[in-house]
Amino acid sequence: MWFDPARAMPSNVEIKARVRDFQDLLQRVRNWSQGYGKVFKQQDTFFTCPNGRLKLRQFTVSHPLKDAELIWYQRADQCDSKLSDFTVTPIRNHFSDGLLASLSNAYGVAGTVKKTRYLFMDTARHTRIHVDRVEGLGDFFELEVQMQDGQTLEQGKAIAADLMQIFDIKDGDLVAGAYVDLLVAE
Amino acid sequence: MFPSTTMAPIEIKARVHDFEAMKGRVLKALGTKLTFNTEYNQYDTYYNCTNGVMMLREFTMTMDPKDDVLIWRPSQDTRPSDSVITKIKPAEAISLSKAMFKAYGHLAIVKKRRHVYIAHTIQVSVNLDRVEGLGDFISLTVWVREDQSLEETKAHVADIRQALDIKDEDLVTSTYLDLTRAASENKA
Repeated sequence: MWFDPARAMPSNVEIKARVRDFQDLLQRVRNWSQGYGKVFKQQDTFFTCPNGRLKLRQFTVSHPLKDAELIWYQRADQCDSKLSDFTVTPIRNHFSDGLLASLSNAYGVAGTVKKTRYLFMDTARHTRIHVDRVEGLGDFFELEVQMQDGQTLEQGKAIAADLMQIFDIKDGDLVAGAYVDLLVAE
Repeated sequence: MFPSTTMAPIEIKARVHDFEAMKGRVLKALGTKLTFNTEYNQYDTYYNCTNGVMMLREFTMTMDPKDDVLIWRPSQDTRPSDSVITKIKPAEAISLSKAMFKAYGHLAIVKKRRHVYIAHTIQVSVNLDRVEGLGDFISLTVWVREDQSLEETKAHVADIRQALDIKDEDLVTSTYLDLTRAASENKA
């Protein structure tokens, strides 16, 4: 019933890359998916945290208005496909500003990231594709391969490599680290 | 709960030596004025926190379905009514508890069975708690009515205390969090 730290964790293989021509990439992903993608405006607030990352994601534009999400995750900051451990808790919008105040007061805010995200799904391969425009940072492409039971890390990485090739994402454009770190580094 | 007043309530907490006998006294003292009566298990997880107190309260074995709550208090001494409360659907509490455990780690866990008795017309609420590892406790809360002086309310509290037979030597000022942490330090 209650959280057991010993339980198996869901995990993702993830990559992030800089995008030089946002409209061109967005158009190619739209052509491939034969759809416009879902568009979200998101504000992520990161709380000071000794282990992994804790953030509250609030949606400012979406129809219908999505619930906020409290997200904890941990990953190795390396360019190569990143395996991450995470958990997402929906927070009803009525309570999200209160939670933002609680966590800000309790632990302090480490950073805030605002972005517009175009979300596409490769449902057959359990992969989320993001084309992101990040305020103050620029444009990015992201893949999140959601690992399935029995799937090996190599299989997850192969899916990421295949999609990178489809969208002509070069190894040289891969970026390590989270948006919040890139913002702090700028 | 009692919107007619903005004054802080009078709160008393004490050890209980005979749970069933105390339950009998509570029911007798509130009698027909008892307007609300329920019980549930509370599984309280406290997380390490740099400022104030952060706690996830999960309800189980409850007579009515209840949302779980993440509660932040600016300090230990803050009145419960000044807490910031985030309601979480019970099915999602496991994810929140993982996030908070991973991010900050556990400070303490307090498990209890709580019996709640409320008499709205006389502005009284009583919690009878059976706390795992700590024993049994009663907490009595009396709200000050606007048409009552503080002295009158204190007299009201004294009457109820007498009816419940709460002795001075059984009064407790520590929180369950303090008592739990003290108990685990003694064990260590």
